[in-house]
Amino acid sequence: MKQTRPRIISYIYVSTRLRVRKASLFPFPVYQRLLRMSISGIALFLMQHGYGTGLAENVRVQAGPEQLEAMLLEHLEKTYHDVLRITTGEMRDLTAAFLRRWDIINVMVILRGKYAGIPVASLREILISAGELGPDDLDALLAEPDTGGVVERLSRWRLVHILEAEYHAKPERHRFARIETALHRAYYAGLLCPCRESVRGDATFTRYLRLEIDTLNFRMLLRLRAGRRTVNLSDHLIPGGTIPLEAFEQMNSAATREEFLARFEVTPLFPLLIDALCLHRTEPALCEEDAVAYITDRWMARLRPAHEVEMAVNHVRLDRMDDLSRRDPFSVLPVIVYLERKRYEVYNLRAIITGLQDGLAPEEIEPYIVL
Amino acid sequence: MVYKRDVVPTRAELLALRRRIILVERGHRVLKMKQEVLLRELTRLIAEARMRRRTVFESYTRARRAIAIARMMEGSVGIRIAAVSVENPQEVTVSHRNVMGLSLPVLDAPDGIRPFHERGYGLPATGSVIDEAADEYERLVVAIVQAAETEGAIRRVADEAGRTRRKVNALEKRIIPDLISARDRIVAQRAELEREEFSRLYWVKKRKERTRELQR
Repeated sequence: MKQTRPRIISYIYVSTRLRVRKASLFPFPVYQRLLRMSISGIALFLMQHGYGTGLAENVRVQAGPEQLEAMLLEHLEKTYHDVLRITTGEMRDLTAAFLRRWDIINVMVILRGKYAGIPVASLREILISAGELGPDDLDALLAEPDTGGVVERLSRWRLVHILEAEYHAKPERHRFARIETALHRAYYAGLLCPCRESVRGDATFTRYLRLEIDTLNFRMLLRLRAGRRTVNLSDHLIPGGTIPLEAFEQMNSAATREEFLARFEVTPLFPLLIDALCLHRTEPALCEEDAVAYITDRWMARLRPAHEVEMAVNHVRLDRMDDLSRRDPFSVLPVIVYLERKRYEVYNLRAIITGLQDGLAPEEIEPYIVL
Repeated sequence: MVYKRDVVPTRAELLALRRRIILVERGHRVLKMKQEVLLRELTRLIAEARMRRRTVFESYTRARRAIAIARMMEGSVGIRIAAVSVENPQEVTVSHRNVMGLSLPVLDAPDGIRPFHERGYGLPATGSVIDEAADEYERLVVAIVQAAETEGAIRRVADEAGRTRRKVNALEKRIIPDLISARDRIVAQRAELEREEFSRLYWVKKRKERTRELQR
């Protein structure tokens, strides 16, 4: 009992603090304002809103998009470290476990970068040491001459057995894509560990993770479908979601619109996705029937862009995450909600800056902003 | 003026020249036909190239937009990493087709858009914007290969048409007139020789008759 009380106090403290921080994230009108600003104006605005002076300096010296992107990612990394610093105990463990996805991203960037001979400095700029692998580990990996050295150097990493198995597996074709999928599977399997009954709000966290896996699988299903060739879904999908993989297989093999709709309708993702499409698509606005037709039409025609549906899936995930965190306010969910919202804030800023640099009109950039 | 010099006004030479004129005129007719075919092919290729160049520009515009959006969503380095993940770059095979003896290149473009799971980048950590950008760039590659095939063919056909035109012109304006003039000269010279011979024989005959009269 003596231990439980400080733990609850810690949950309350961190959750409240991060809820306050979440409230300070940029709302949509701010993005609309930023879209109408010049790049230097955006940099000044960001500097005044906690993004540091580095960004403004980079814009002043007319740094390339990669440098600006690196600055934004650096800010994201600082945010992650800051959140890890204020969390304690189980909450910190869960947050750290959640952030371990960055290890996979970093390892894959290093492996692919080494394979393709991308300069180390370019790779270092986009690595975010938010997971188990710290900055020194990442530097050591970058110093390795080839991909084999990187794999050997990761001998103490949690997912090394998966990495090694896939790295040495035959055939070598699409090796990195296979490694990436296997690592993500292992990551989610590790997060869905059923041995955390004592952790506060773990059921809600698990529910969110299952939804995240569902949305990820649905996104992959849409992309594979648009790929125009029949593929083995089980090579790509990630187990552990609320929708069984067989349901995705059945959706994939549906020959008619009605068959697909009948199989999709029974999934928990269907109402959420339709709502998200109705809510977020404004040009032209969609009613529920239109949203269903929009998805099924694209499905039947194997059409791209699937990005609007993908954006709706992201909205669904974030909205659902918010709902769950409200239901269990003193759990790890508010932390995860803040981290994910912050990630999308950084991504939105990157989208605005790079979009404007590439000469896209604000109206073209706006649909790609995730709120 | 090579045919005007060193021409011996003999019957054998005249016959050889006549044969040569027939041969050259036949060659001229064939070259004229070749020139027409090449010009027709060139006109067709130019129209096709114009259409293909327009397709390249349209594809390029779409590809630039798609890559801008992908860069927006995935970041510059994300795009670069996805790009270098491609393990089996598509190859263009080159063969040839024959038009009036002229070998024109035929570039077999990669077989359209590849399924994205064969491109080599991972699915979980990338978005569909990468697929769209890759689709557009693969379409652009196909459009560029097709345009290169047509424009390469145009260059060769135009060169060959120019060469053929020069040959036709040389035959028309120089060789055939020279041969004809040489033939005419030989005919004229031979006629002159014949007249001289006739006149000589006439005077010889006259002299013989006069001598015979004086002896009587």
